[in-house]
Amino acid sequence: MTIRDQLKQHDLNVAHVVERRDVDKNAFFAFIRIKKDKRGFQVPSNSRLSEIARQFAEIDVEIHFILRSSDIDDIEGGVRATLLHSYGKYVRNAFLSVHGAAGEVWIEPKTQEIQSKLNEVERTLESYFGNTFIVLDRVRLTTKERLPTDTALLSSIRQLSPCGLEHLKDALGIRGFSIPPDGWLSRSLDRLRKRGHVVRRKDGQYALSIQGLRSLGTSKTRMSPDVRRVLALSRRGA
Amino acid sequence: MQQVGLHLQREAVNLGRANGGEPFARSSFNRYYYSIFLEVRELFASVDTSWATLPHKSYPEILRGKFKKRIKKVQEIARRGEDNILYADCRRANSYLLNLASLMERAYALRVIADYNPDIAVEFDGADRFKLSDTKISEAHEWQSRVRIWIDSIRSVILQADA
Repeated sequence: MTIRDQLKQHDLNVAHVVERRDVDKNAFFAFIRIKKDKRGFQVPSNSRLSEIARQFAEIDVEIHFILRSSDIDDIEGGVRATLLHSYGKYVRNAFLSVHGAAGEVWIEPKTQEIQSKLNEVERTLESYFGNTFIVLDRVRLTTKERLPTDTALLSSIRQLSPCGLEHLKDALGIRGFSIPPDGWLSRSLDRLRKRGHVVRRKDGQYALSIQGLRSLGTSKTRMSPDVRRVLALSRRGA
Repeated sequence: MQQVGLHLQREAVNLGRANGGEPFARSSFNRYYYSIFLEVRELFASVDTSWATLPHKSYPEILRGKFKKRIKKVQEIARRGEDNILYADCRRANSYLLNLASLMERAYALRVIADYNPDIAVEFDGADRFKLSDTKISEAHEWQSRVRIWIDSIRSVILQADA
C-alpha cells in the first residue's frame, strides 16, 4: 500500500505525496487540503496531523505535512477579484488573513485616494463575506503609518523619565515610529494619566507611576529596561 | 531574488515546455522561495543576530517557538497595561507567525521538489502560466508581498514593547 493510500485511510484529503530526494532517509512531503469548520477551526487539526506523523515515525517513515487551505484560497481569490473589479483605480492587490472566523483584508493601494473609499470598500467586503464563514474584522492598508501604542509610550517614558512632549517625540522617532502630532500625543498621555499609569509634574514633564512600572514589568537580560534606563541616565549626565 | 524569479518566470513562459522552458520554470520557484527566506532571515537578524545563521529547516520551528513566546510576552505586557489595541495586534501577529511558518514549509517543499524531483513535471497551461505540484507560479510570485505584510505586523508588535 502506498503512503498516499495509508494517509487516505486516516481520512485525510491528500492532494499528492512526494518522496524527498534531498535527505538520506525515508521521507515524504504530503500535501494535504485542509478546511475550516463553522467556528473557524482547522480540520484536520494540527494535533491530529502530529499524531499521524508520529505513527509513521514508528515505522521509520518521516512525513512532513504541507497544508493547503482550499476554501480560504478561494475566498481570497474572490476578495481580490471583487476589489480589483470595483476599485481597480485605487487597489493594486489585496490579501486575506483569517484568524478563527475573523477576516482581515490588506490592501496594497495604488494611490492614497483609497483612504476616502475605505468605508465603501468595507461595505462591499461585508456583503461578499456574507456568503462565507468569515466575518470582516478590518481593512488595512499596507502603507499605514506606524503609530506608538500606549505600551510603546509607557516604555519610552520609563527610559526617558521625566520627559516632555518634544523629548518623547524625538525618542519615538528614533525607535522607528511615525512622529505623532502634538494633539494626538497629548490626548494619549492624558488617557494614560487618567488610567493611573503616568503622572504629569507641575513643570509639564511626564513620569511613570508605580502602577505604570508594574504593568511594563522587567527582565533580567542584558537588554533589560532597567539597564537601558541606567544607560539613558548616564548619557544625560544625571 | 523576486526580480530574478520574475525574469525566470517570463523566460519559462516565452519558451514553453517544447522549447526548454521547464528548467526556467523550476528555477523561478526556487528564487521565489529564496525571496521570502531572505525576508524572514532579516526579521530573525533584527531580533537576534545568531538566528540569521540557522538552517532553513529550523525557520518554521523558530517562528512557532521563540517568536511566538516573544509575542506572548508582549501580549502579557499589553494585558497588564490595559492596552487593548496592542493586545489585539499581538493576537493577529501570533496568527501571522503560524501563517508564515506554514508558508515557509510549503515554499521550502516546492523548492526541494523543483530542485530534486525532475520526475514531477511543471505543468504549462499553454498561455502565460504554469504550476508545480499544484501551486501556480502566480501564487509563488505573491509570496513576498504577503510575507512582507505579515513580517511588518510581527515586527511592529515587537517594536511596541521594545524600549
